Amino acid sequence: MQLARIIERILIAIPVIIGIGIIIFLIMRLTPGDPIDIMMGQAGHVSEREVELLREQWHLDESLGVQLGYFLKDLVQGDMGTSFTKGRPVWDLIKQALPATVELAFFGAFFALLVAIPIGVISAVKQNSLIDKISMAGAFFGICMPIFWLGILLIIIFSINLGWLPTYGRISYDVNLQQVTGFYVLDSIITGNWPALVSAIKHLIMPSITLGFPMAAIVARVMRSSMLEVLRNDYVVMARAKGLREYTVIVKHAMRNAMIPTVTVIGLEVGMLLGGNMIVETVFSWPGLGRLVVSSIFVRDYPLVQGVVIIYAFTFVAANLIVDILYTYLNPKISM
Amino acid sequence: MLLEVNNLQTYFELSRGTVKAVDQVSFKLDQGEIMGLVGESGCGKSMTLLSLLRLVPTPGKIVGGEILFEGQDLLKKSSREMTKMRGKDLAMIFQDPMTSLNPVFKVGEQIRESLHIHGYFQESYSGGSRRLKAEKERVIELMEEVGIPSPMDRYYEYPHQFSGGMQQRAVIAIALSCEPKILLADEPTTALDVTIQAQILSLMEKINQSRGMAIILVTHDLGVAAEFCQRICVMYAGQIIEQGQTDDIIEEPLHPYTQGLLNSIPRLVPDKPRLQPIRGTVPSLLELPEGCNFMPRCDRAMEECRLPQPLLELQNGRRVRCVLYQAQAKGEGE
Ligand SMILES: Nc1ncnc2c1ncn2[C@@H]1O[C@H](COP(=O)(O)OP(=O)(O)OP(=O)(O)O)[C@@H](O)[C@H]1O
Ligand SMILES: [Mg+2]
Repeated sequence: MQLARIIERILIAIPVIIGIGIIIFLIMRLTPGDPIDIMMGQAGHVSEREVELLREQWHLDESLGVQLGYFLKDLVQGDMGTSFTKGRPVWDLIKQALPATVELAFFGAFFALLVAIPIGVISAVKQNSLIDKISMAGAFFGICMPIFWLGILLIIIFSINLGWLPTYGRISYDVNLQQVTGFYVLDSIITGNWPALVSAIKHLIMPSITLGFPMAAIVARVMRSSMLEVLRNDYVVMARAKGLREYTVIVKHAMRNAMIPTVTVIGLEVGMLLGGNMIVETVFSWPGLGRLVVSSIFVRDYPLVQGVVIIYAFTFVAANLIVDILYTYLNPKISM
Repeated sequence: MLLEVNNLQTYFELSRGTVKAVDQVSFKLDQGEIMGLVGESGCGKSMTLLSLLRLVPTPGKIVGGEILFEGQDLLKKSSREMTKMRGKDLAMIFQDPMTSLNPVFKVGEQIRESLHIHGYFQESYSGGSRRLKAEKERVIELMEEVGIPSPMDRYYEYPHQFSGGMQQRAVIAIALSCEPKILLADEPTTALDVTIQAQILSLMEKINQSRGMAIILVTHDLGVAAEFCQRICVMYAGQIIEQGQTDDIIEEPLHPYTQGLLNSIPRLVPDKPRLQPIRGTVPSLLELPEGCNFMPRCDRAMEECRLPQPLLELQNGRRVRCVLYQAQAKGEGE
């Protein structure tokens, strides 16, 4: 894809993200429950005067239109406001939680692709074999199963029964990790802190599997069916007739073509990964954006919810842009 | 003898029964010869060629016979040995050029891959980049030879940027790249325009003459076979029913099916009678009769036709699978 097309796509993304901001703004205000009522319920003694002041400060006494105006004015200036409940700028809170989420999503997707693509290919090559049947049953299970249930199941097996893996957090309290990027695996490699690396990876295993499993299930199925489609083509027979080894025929000639539809699905699945992360982060007490947004929804912390949702929208748009670039790279017919 | 195929049998075991796609096929091919393999759609021409390469698609299996290439039976080779021979000793061109090239790789690279895997220029240039350069130069030469204009640029183009005729030329370049001894051409022109058809066929003829490469030309067009081949095998329902020198077959077809096939070619000569299609339809290979496969459609069928028919040897290397010629046969056929 040429640079001009990429820039065009980025420019188109801006109104999309602002639009999503408006939608989440409206959804939050139209949801029953008042942030100040909730806070008062938690804090106990709050005087009428203090309530008035808070309402004024957060513009909650204004009409919906005026509130939206303030929100958009701040947003285009890059200001996401201040959290009602935490009293800190939303952006600071997001910055703090983002690396945890990105790290988890990365390993979730990594796990999913690492498992799904070889399974999809092998199932197609050995169609109707035992391996194929078992994998596709597994994939079916992965698509149907509620994600929190898998998380809890893993905790029961690997933490409670076997005691191998920790159940919550990103790293043990007894290891000290100097933070550089906020990605613990990366940080522990940079600083050469091996105990921290081991601990970070141990903490990542179950959340990554839980998060990646539904994605793996779908990607494996798509990979299998597109591989089956590709294997029927003449150019595969042609590749064999040229004298290529079967491995080269499958991995180079067939897989490269089968990846084209799969990559599109992977792009869409990134969205699922974001949705799943709220559940996974809650189940594993993972201090990321998902948990942040879930807790802020409960207390109607409007600015925080809006901020996180905008970040989600941004990630989704960016992921799809990357997928599109990858797609044109894989499919020479598009790059024309 | 370059290639000798004896009693080749390729069957598809389906739940509904056995499809005898290639049944007791025997023929010989000399160095530098062009042999035609003619028959209607579905008679097993492609499966015969794929059997020679041992690339029959599942659930098909070669269940019997031998394929002697320079005296060695290909069916006895290990799959590694067979992989090495494909493309190098026997190369194949497919029916539809538009689907034969891999859409995601540059055409030039697809030709180069052939050279590369068979180790061309491997000894002369052990260093990677010089070997690559030598390979590329050879690919450009090949592209020139098969008539692809401005090969320097077209090397870097993708298949969809090529026309059908150009794609088929590229496929031919792949097939030629390792100078195989036999070229298996499966209806190389069926998917192309008539004018391009003639170009491709004369290109193949030129290559046959300049390199002395033997060709098996599969076609459903007896006219094309008559023009290009020294010898012709006529296939019907998985079996070869007649083979001989092209002139003999055209002038005096023996098998009633070959006669019918010749009569059904539209002619420009006015004194010939109108088109005479063969009555009935091609049988399903699943429910073949016990005896002669052509019997249900044959005007000269008789009681004896119900028995299995051997391929009878006649004079001048001619063979026919028909009871009518039993008297002329030089003893038992197969
Ligand atoms: N995958 C398959 N499963 C079952 N039968 C098959 C399969 N592939 C081919 N056949 C059978 O093999 C027979 C021969 O097929 P083949 O492709 O060799 O025909 P052909 O002579 O090349 O025809 P065409 O001119 O249409 O290319 C067909 O009639 C078909 O019944
Ligand atoms: Mg065919």
